[in-house]
Amino acid sequence: MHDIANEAVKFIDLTAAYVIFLFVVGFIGGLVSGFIGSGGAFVLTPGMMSLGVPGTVAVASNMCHKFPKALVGAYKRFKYGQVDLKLGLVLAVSAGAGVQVGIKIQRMILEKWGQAGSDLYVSLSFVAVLIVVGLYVLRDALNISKSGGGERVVLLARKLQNINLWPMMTFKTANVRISFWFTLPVGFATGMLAATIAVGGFIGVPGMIYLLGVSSLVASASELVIAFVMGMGGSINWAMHGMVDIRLVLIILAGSLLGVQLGAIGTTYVKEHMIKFVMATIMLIVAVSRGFAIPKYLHQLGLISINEGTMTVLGSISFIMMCFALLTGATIILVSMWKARRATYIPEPLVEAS
Amino acid sequence: MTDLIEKDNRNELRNSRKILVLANNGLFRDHVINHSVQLAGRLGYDLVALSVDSHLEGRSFETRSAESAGNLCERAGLNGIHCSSMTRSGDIEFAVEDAIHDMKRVEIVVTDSETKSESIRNISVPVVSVLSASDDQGGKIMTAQRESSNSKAKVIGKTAGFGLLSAACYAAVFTNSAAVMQTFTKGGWYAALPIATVVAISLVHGAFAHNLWSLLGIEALKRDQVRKTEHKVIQKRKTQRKRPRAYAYVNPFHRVDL
Repeated sequence: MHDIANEAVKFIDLTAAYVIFLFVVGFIGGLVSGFIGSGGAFVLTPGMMSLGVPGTVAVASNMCHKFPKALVGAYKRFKYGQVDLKLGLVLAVSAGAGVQVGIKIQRMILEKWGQAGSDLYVSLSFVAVLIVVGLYVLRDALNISKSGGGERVVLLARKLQNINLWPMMTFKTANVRISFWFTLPVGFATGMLAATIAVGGFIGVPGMIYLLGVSSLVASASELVIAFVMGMGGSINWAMHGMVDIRLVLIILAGSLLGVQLGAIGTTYVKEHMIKFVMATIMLIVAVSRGFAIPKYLHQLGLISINEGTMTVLGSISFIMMCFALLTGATIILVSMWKARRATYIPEPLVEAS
Repeated sequence: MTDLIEKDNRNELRNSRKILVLANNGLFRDHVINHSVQLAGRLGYDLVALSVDSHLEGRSFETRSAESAGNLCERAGLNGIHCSSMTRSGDIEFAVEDAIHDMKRVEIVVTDSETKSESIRNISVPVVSVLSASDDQGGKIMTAQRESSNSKAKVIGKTAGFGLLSAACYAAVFTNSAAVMQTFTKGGWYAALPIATVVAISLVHGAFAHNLWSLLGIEALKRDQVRKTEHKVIQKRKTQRKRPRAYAYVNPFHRVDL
């Protein structure tokens, strides 16, 4: 197995420009992950591929940087009392099943329609899931922002919490008591999306918020636990096939460990709906970005006809928009952190006048 | 009766809420300036610097207090906070009460902990006495400050230590990258090598990153601490706001020609 890997895979030579690019993308991706619980991976994989890294190595290296980053982020946010470890682990189990099913579906599509069909499936999943969920999350964030109030548990989550279906589970940090059976679809969908578009959190975090009734702060923090468990499993799998380029992983990690801690700190400054707002913004821009990639795959499948130049332009627009999504998310986080930092002051211990 | 000399009447025209910063012997020390500017910034209040010449020093007091109040207002101005200054003479408590009465909407009085407590005992708005290094409870405060500087030194040490360790790990991998890549990509049980490496790096580099952000002053906000302080200020305000009110009796038949 490893011989095949060594023969088939060509690891790239690193230049200073590549190192800087990976470090910066790692930092921004880490910042977003620390804040919303996921993100960054969708730029890193195509980003590495654009540097000439083979697809499998890019996916493997991305995953291998993801789990230590999630570990550090989860630990940091656990210290802030935001992580529901039990919730994260319960969801991670069903997410593991979701990953396996997701991979099987991918393989099936690959066998039937080839690489273009698989890419089209991935892009369509991106567009469909991200637009639907992204718009819903954005609407919710805007409503909370307009009303100026805090987050409320949505009606669906309250109804599900009221259904007494054995076994009931209590998640203390999340302050939720719900049947185990309702956690299954959330974890499963997270895993399936992670296997398909590499960012399970785009369904995991909204799933926890709108189905289980978890606050966005706890949901985004607990998502890091899921990311750690899934990432660790995936990384071991890829490493056993000799696909991990440790150099790329370490460079990305150098930036992302700085970013993930900053993002985690940021969650303590901003209002909770900002997490939803950042997540929705990134999701919608990424959805549009993937939309630009669809014509290329349709062309490859012979369903439409477009010339080579147009495909190149569309591909470039798609990648630039992905980078833009990440940059926008990072900018919103940093600006809102800056504003909150200026507005918030922790007074020194006071001595009362006697 | 106290002899009152008011230098700046602009605050009378302004209806915004104010924090009255009381100088200690004509001086606004740095910790008082920092505290009052930050408090005003957070609450959206204006600042009024009040110096009370209780020993009737005259011109030398005025010069000293004007310079110190200038520093306070300069800091306030940099933070976009309106600030004005005034000098009064006589008994501190009376001077403060008169200033509060004249200006209206003074919500908090901030002063140096060195200001004698008996001279500000009966002020009708909450008084925040900011600790200084040379406070009566100086030992404790100096220890706290020393501890704080020690902890900063500790953070610098940790940042440097973990930074060097992290750099050493990176150097070890990148100076032998060919051999590392060959071994780490063999697959099978060799998979443990990249996994163990990233875990080790995440611990070392993660600790470095944590200390680096701490050193840069970027730390998580403890919301409970803010709430506790706000609660304390509000409670104090509620208990102390027993301001004597003057009730005027208006005779409805006064000057009525029948």
